[in-house]
Amino acid sequence: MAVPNKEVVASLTERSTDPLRSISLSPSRRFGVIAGKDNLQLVKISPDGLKRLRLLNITQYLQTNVPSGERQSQPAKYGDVRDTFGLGVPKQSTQRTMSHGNIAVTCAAWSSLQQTEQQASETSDQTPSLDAEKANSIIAAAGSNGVVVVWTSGSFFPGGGGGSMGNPQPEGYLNQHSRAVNSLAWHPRQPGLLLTASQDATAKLWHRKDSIDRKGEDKRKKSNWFANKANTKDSKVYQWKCIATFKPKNEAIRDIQWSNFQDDIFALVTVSGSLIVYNRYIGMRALAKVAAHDGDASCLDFHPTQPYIIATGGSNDNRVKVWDLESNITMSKKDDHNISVNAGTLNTIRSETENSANSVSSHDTDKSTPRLETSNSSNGIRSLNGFSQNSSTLSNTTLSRHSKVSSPLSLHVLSISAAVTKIKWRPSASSVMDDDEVDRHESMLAVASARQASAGGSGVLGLWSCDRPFMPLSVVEGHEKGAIGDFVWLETPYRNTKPTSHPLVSSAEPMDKSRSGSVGRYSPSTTTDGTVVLRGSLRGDAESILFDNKEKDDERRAAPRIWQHILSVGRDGRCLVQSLVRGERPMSRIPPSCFALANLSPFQTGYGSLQVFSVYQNVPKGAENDMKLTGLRRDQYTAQAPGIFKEEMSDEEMEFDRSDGLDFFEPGRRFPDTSPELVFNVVDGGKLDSSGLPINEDVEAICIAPEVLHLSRFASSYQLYPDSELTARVDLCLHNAGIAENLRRDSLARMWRSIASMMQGAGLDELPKAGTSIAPTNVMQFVLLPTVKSLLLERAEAGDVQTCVAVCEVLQVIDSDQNTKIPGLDITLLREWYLSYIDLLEQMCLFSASAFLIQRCNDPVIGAMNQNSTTIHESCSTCGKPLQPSTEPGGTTRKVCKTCRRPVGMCFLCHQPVTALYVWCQGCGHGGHLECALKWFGGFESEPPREICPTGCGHRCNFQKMNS
Amino acid sequence: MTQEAEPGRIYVDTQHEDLVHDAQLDYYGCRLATCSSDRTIKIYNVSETSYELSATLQGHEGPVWQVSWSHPKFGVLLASCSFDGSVFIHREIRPRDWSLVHVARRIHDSSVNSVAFAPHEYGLKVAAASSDGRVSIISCQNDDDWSLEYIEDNALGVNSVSWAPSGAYHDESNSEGTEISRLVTGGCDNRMRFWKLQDSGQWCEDSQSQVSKDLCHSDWVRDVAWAPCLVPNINMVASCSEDRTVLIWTQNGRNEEWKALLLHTFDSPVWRVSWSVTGHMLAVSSGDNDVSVWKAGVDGTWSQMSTVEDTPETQHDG
Repeated sequence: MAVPNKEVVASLTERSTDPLRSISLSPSRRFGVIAGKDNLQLVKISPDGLKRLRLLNITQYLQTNVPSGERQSQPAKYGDVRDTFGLGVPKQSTQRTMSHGNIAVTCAAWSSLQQTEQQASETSDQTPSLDAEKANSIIAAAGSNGVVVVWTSGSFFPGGGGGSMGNPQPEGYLNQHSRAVNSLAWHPRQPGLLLTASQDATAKLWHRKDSIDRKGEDKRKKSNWFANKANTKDSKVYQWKCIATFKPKNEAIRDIQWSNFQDDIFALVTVSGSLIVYNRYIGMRALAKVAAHDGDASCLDFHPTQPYIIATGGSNDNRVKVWDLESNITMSKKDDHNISVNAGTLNTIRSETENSANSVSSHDTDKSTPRLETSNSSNGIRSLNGFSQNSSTLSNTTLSRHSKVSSPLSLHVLSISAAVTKIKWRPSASSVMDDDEVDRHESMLAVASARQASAGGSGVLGLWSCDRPFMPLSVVEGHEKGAIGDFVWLETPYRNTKPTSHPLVSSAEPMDKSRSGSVGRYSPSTTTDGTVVLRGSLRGDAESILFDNKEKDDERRAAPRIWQHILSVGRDGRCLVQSLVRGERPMSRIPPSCFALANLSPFQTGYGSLQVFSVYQNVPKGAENDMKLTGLRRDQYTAQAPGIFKEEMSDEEMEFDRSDGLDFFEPGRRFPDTSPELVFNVVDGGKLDSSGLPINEDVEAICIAPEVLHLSRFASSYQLYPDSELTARVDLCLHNAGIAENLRRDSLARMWRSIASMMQGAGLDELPKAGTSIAPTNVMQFVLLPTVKSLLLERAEAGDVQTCVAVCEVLQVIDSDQNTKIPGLDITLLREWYLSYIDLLEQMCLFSASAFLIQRCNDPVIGAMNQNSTTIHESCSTCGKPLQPSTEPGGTTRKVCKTCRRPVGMCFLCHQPVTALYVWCQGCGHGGHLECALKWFGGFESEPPREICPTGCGHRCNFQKMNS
Repeated sequence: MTQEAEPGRIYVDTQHEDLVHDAQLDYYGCRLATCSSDRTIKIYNVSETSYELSATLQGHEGPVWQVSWSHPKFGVLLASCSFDGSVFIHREIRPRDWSLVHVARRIHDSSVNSVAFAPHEYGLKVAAASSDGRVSIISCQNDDDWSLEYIEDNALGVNSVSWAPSGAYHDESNSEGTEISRLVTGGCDNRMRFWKLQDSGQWCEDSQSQVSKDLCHSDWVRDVAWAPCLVPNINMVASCSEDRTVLIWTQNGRNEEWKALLLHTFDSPVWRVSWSVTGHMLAVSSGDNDVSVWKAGVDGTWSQMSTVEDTPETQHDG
C-alpha cells in the first residue's frame, strides 16, 4: 500500500503501443531480444537500466520469404481441432494468406553458437566478449503464420556484421508449420538445434547444417565442427533442415523446452493440458504423457538443477504443478545412467539411446513405480511438504502400478488463483553467500499470472515456493495494464563486504566444479553442504565488473550471485526489471496470531469467567525472516553490490544488521517449523484475595473484570423473589447487598442498600402500579422511581445486565399488563436486558437460573420463552415408536403404546408404574423412578455404580461417574 | 459453585501442519474449532485442563481463514471460509460425525476472509467478506433451501464483517415491526461501512448515519466488531487496522453520527478485536502474539487491564 511500483527497478523508456510477447537473453545475459507485435527489439541490460539498441520490423521476413516448394510437405490440417482450441490461444490464429499487418511475431529466442560446458549451465560465468557474442549467437523469431526466421545475432547489433543496419540478412527460414508457432526452444548445449512448437499440433526439430556439410550423419562431430568454425568467424552458408516432426496429439502445442540435463529429452505442453515428454530420436512414442491440467496448459519449465522435475502452468485451472518424471524419463537399463545425466555431457550416442528406446515399452510399466518412490522418499527431500510427499508417494504406488504408462501425481500443486501465463524456476544461486548463508532457491518458481483470463488484466508476477502452495512469497505488479507475456530471471551479484569477519575456509575446488557437480536428485544443492567460502572478496569497482570482464573475469566468477530480479515484457507494451525483494509479501498480510474471547464452560477451570485464548505460532515476518522465507535479500550487500541496478535503500533497511539472527538458520526449515499451539489463558481459579481481586498465579494471564468473573456466582446466589424467610422486598435487597459485599463488590452492595433504604423510607414494599397517579406522600416516594430508573440505565451502560435484571425482578418493575412501573423506561428495553441476560446464563450453562427467571418473570413475552423451541416428542421406551395420542373419547393419559400394546411409564427397575418424577436415559430412552435410577446407577448402599441400562438393552447409560 | 482448580494455561497442540488462522469456542465454551493454512478445520472437546481432538473437517481447497459457530438453537453448525472463495457450513449430525449442510463453492472470485453467523434472531444467516470486494449473505430458507445475496462493498477487498446484535436499534414509531439487520464491514480501502437490510430485501449502505471523518484509519482495516448492545440505539463498534490503531466508534442514537475514539496506538499492526459478551471489554491482538484487554471506565475513557501486580485499585470499581 505504499508507493505503487516501487518494485520496478528499471524500465525500457520506449514503451511499445503493442503488446510484447516474448523475451530472450543473449548468452552473456547482457542483451535481450524482445518480440513485439511486428518487430524485434534489441535491448541492452546494464547498470544504467534498459536501453533499446534497435527496433526492427520483421514482418517482411515472416511474410515474403515463404518458399512455395515446401508448402506441399506441410502436415495435414487439423482444422476442426484447432478451431476447438482457437479460443485459448493468445495469438490470433492466422491464415497463410493474411495481409502484411496481421502477421504477428509470436516469440523470439536467442542462443549461443558456442559450445562450451559453461554455457550449458544457466548461470554462465564466462561472459563471452561482446564480439564473440555478436558472431556466435543466433536469434530465431517466429510468426503467427508459422514461419520461423533465423539470424545470426551479429547482424542485429548496430554496425555489426551480417546485413546492413536496415536489413539484417536472415540466415534461414523455417517454414513448415501451417499455423502460428507458439514457442521456440534452442538446445541449451548443442548449438543449432531448435525446437518449434506450433498451433498446428506439431513440434519440429530443426538443425542448422552447413551447406557443404560432408558428414551429416555424425551429429556430434558435426556440431563440434560447427562450433569451431563459428569461432573462427568463417562466414559459411548454412542450411536449416527439419530433422524430426513430433505430433503428440491433435491439438495445439503451447510451450516446449529442452531438458537441462538430458540432451535428447524435451517436454511440451498442449492446449488441452497434457504434459508430454519426448526423446528427440523417438518421434513415434512419447516417454511420458501426463494429463497435467484441466484445460489449457500454458507453459512449462524444467528444474534448473534437478533433471526430472518439470513444472507446468495451467491458464485455465490456475494452477502450477510440479512433476517428477524420473520414472518416465530414465531408462531401466544400467547403462542408461550414462545417458546425459551429467550436465554438458555430449557423449550421447544415438545407438545407445535407441537401444534404450527399444526397451521403453517393456520397462516403464514395471519399473516406473518403484523408481518414483525411491526418488521421493530416499533423499529426505527437504522442500517437500510432509503431506504432499506422502500422498504422492502413496498414490503413485497404488494408482500407477497397473497403468500402462504411469501417470504420476504431481509432487506439488500451487494454487495461483489467476491464469498462469509463464513460469520459470528460480536458478540456483551460484555460490555460497557467506558461511551462514545457503541457497534456498531450488524449490522456488516465478509465476506470471494474469488477473483476468488470457486477455486483459494486470500482470502479476509472484515468487512461489513449493512449500507454500497457496501464497506467493513475494509479488510484483509492475505490469499494471496487461498480462506478462514472458520474463527471464536476472541475477543480482552479491558483494561480500566483510570477508574478514568470518574465518575463511578456502575451497579446494574451484566454484565451477562444485556447481557442475550439483546435478543431482531433487535434493539440496551441493552448495549447502560445504563450507565453501569465497576465495577472494570483491572489493573492486562495482560498476566496472560487469563490463570489464576481461580484467575482472576471475573475480566475477567468484562473485556469488542471487536471483531476485526479473525482466519481463507485457501486453501493456512495457519492458520492466522488477525486484522481487521490493515486492509485496503476502505473508505479512496474514495475522500471525489469533485469539478469541469466550466464557468458560462449566467443565473448565474458572468456570463462569471470561477467558482469552490465543494461538502461539512462529510466523516468519519482518526483515529478519525475509531471507529465510523467500531467499531474497535486501541489504547493503546486494543493493550496493556490483549489481545490475543500484537501489536506494531505506533507512530502515540500512539499520537492519542482517548478520544477526541467521546463525540458527538451518537450510530447508519450513516455517512455521513447529505445529501451532493454542493457549488458554485461564484467568483465575475462582479464588479471591483479601481485597476481592482474583488471585492470579500466572503472571501472563490476563486479569478480567470482576463483574464478568462473578456473573455466575451472582446468578446462583442472588435472591430475586420473596420466600418464607425473606418476605419483604426490602429484605431481598439487603440480602443481595450482603452477597455483593461477600464478593467484595462494595459499589453493588451500596446500590442494593440504597434501594432498600429508599423503599423503607417510602414506606412501600413494591413500586406503585403504573399509571396510578397517587401523589407521593413523602419525599422518598418522590425520588424513588427516577432514582431507580437512572440507576438501571447506568448499570446498563456499564454492561452490567445482571444487576439490571436483578433489580427489575426484585422490584417487580414489569407488571402483568406488560407495562413498566417506572415511567420512561420502555418495556422493550427491559425485554432486551432479560433476553441478553438469559442468553448469558445459558451460554454459561446456568440453565436452571435462566429457567427460573423465565418462569417467574411477569412479562408474558419472556415467560413464553418456556414454550419456545421446546418440543417434546414422546416415544415408547419398549418399541421406540412415537406414542400416538389416544383416540378414546376423553382419554388423555396414554397407558398403553398403540404400536406394541405394552404399558407405558413403567419403571425400568421395579416395573411399577411411575407416578412421580420419571427420569430416563437420553440415549436408550429407558427410565423410571428417580430412586430406582439412583439405586442402579448411583452406587447406593455401597453397591458399585453400574453403567449398563437395567433393561438389558446394552446401552451404556452412565458413562460418567455420578457425582454424589 | 466454584470449582477449585489451579489456574494456569491449557496448551492445545493443534496438530495443524501450517499456520492457524482462527480459533473459536462454541456458545457453551466446550468445543473449540481451529482452522489453518493446511486446509483443514479441527474440532476439539475442551474440558478442564485437557483437550481431545474430536474431528478434522476437510474439503476446502485453500487456507481456511475463519470459522464461526452458530447459535445452538440451529444445532451444531460451523461456518468456514477459505482462500479458495468458498464458504462451507458444517453440521455435526452425531458426535464426531460431521457433514456439510451447505457448500457455497467459489461464490467469490477471490479469497473469503471473514465469516460470521448472524444473531439468531435474524434466522440462520451467514455473512462472508471477500477480497473480491463483495460480502455475501447466505441465508437458510425453509427446507434447507439456501439463498445467496451479494453486497458490493469496495473494489479493493473486504477483510472483516460483523453483525449488529439483535436489539441494537429501536424505533419507537415502529414498535411492532421486525428488526432491521445490519452489519459493518472493514475493508482494504481503510474504511468501515455500515449496511442495512431494507424492507425491499435489498442490502444498502446505511446512508442515514454518517461516519465521522475526524479520525480514520490510514491502512487496511483488519477487523471490525460490533459490541453487544444493552441500551438500544447506543451502539459501539471497534475497528482495528494495520496502521496500528484501534478505534472505538460510538453512535448515540439512531441515525446519529458515528464518532471515533482512539483506543490506543500499538507498536505493530492490530489484527483482531473482540468484545466480551457483556460488551465494554475489548480484547485486541496486535503484533505477533500480544493480546491485551481494555475496559471502558465510568468516564468513557479506556484503560488497559494488566496483570494483577501492576493493577491499581481502580479496577474493582465497576
